[in-house]
Amino acid sequence: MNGFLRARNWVRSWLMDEVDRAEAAAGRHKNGPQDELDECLGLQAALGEALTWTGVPEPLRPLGPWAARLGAGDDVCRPLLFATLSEAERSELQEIVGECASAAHQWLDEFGSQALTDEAAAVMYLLLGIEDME
Amino acid sequence: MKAKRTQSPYDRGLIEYGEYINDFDESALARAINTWQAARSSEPSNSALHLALSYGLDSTDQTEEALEAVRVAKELDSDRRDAEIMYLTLLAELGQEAEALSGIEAAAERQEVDLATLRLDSRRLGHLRTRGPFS
Repeated sequence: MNGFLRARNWVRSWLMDEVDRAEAAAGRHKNGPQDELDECLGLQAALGEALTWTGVPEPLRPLGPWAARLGAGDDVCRPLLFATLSEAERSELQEIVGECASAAHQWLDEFGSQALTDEAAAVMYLLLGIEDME
Repeated sequence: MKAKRTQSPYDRGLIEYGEYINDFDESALARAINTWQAARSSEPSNSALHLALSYGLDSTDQTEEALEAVRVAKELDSDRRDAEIMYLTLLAELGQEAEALSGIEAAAERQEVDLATLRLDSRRLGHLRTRGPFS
């Protein structure tokens, strides 16, 4: 019967539990955004070191360092990583991507229904991050 | 790409709602509602999504839209007592008292609520219509 009398409180209580769950799933830290960024930088550094660009078409290799740094598949981390770019870095990145984007999309299309390699996934997420940035 | 976390649109709306609560950011509430509204096409069977949307809409006085959203939540998951109660609450507030009372009685019977107490609260329903009986 209390539910009838406090319907909104009941739903609100449930909703706040859901918010806590979603924040935890997203790796959001109660200690603040710096912890989140530090974790993302650490994860991406490890991923970036594991990428090898020798099998990537030569025209796309200039994207390598950027994809290693920013091509995070994690929807939460990617914008945080992009936010670390300076204005000069953004300009440089946009210039390089502008030159390589067409070839990059063509390369990604070649995978068809096959799983992307880690390097291709990093490039795809880099392009995705740039679209979000713009 | 092993350390990948993906967010459903529903969860993204939850995080935006959390920003509204934690940072007192009114625009975050609007973003959460927009996210949940857009997510209805990708997560149409997610009862929780529709209930969350209903609560957000109700918070911004979009009561009729909130009623429709919670109706969907209730239909998708008939075991959700919170959705059912929210639905009946909004029904009553929108003046659909007969349907609300009928629903309350049915819910009370299913959940073995004391009917004498229910009658008292049903009377309150009529008296408190303008403010909402359950809020």
